[in-house]
Amino acid sequence: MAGDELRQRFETLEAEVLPLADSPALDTIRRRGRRRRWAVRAGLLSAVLAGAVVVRGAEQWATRPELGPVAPVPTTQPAPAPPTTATPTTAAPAAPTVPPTTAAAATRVELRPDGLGVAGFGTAEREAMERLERRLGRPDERGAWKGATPFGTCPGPVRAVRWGRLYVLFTSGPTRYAARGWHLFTYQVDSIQRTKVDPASSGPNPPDPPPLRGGSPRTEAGVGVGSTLADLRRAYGRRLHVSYGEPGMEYRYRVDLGAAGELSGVLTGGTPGATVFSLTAGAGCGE
Amino acid sequence: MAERDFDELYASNYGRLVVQVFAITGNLADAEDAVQEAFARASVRWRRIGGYDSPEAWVRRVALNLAVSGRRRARRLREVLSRAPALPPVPPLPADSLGLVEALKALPLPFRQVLVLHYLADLPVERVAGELGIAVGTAKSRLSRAREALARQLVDGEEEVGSGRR
Repeated sequence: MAGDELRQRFETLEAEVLPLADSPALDTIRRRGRRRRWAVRAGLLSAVLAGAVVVRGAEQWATRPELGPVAPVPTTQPAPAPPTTATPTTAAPAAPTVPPTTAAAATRVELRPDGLGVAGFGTAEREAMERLERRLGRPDERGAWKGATPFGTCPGPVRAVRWGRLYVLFTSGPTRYAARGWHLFTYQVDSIQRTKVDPASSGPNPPDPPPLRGGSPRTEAGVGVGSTLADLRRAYGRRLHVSYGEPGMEYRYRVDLGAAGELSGVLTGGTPGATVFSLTAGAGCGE
Repeated sequence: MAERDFDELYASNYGRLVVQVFAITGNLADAEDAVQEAFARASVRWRRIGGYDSPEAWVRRVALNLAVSGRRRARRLREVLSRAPALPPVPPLPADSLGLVEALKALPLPFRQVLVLHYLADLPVERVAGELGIAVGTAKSRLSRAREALARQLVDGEEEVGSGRR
């Protein structure tokens, strides 16, 4: 079939179909366009909301309370010392009288060089716990140690409580904050679950502790676990000191805040994009 | 581009685009729906689309994409499920045009596309290649093979009609 003949047949088809085509008014077309645009926007909004719900659900799932070395709820009386050292005490769940903690709840305190805002270093354990639980809800994990602890060798027996990524440590040993009595002496925001590290283990290849996920409490300047070294520099400028070396041959940082104290911790590296792996303040525990 | 330009585009191209999409899909209702949807989308993006060299090409491309996508199939499924009386896919047409539509239906989609763009949209081969995103050489050879295939289909169809008459 010649091209011209084919073209003629197509032209005939067009002439015959054109009158059959139902042509709606322009307003109808425009309304249809607007309806579709709103539908697309509503769909996008729904997708975003659904995504947020899923992410929040996943976050809560990821930061659900895990079984750890749990001790009875602290009282004003020190817990009876275990016969051996470096061994977690027996487990007992905390009374569910306060709302469960979440990753978001852990951001309701401020990491300060002199404590956690609502509870400064030196605050008695019972009082500090009441204040912290009012702010953060029920802890995810509790533990108690004597001698070596997952946090190093501390000034005395240690009780640790964890909300999300925040470990809060109490001791009955003497510190610069209090000579006696169980009191808050340090905190640590971490990327790993320290309490899963057996402090008695001295093998060459101890298993990696599980990671801690979820939100991190932050300093007044907005720095927390996950912040970059560049963020630290922006926030603290010349008060920030970064070093590399012992212990563990790692990058460490220290923020000198004068009389208020200091913040310190471990970095994932030494480049500006390296992130804060842990952050601590207070009397601390040696290695 | 002003709103008036959109109105003109719609008035001067709606019917022709319906015919083009109908020639590719073989279903007039689907073709109308796809072209109306394409114009509706163009209407809310007119500030951008109006600045294109050929807004008509944009509308045609969107309409063709819609027509051959599953959206039309989904609509047909809804019609079946609702038991609503569906419109006949091909309107009553004279035998020659009906034969052409049936012959086109028997061709692969790429063949239908080049034939419709060249013979119905009156595009030169270079622009056919541009609209389909293929090389000019590919468009030429595809058009040649499509023409041969269509001619065979038309002859076969006419023979069937002829033998049916006997």
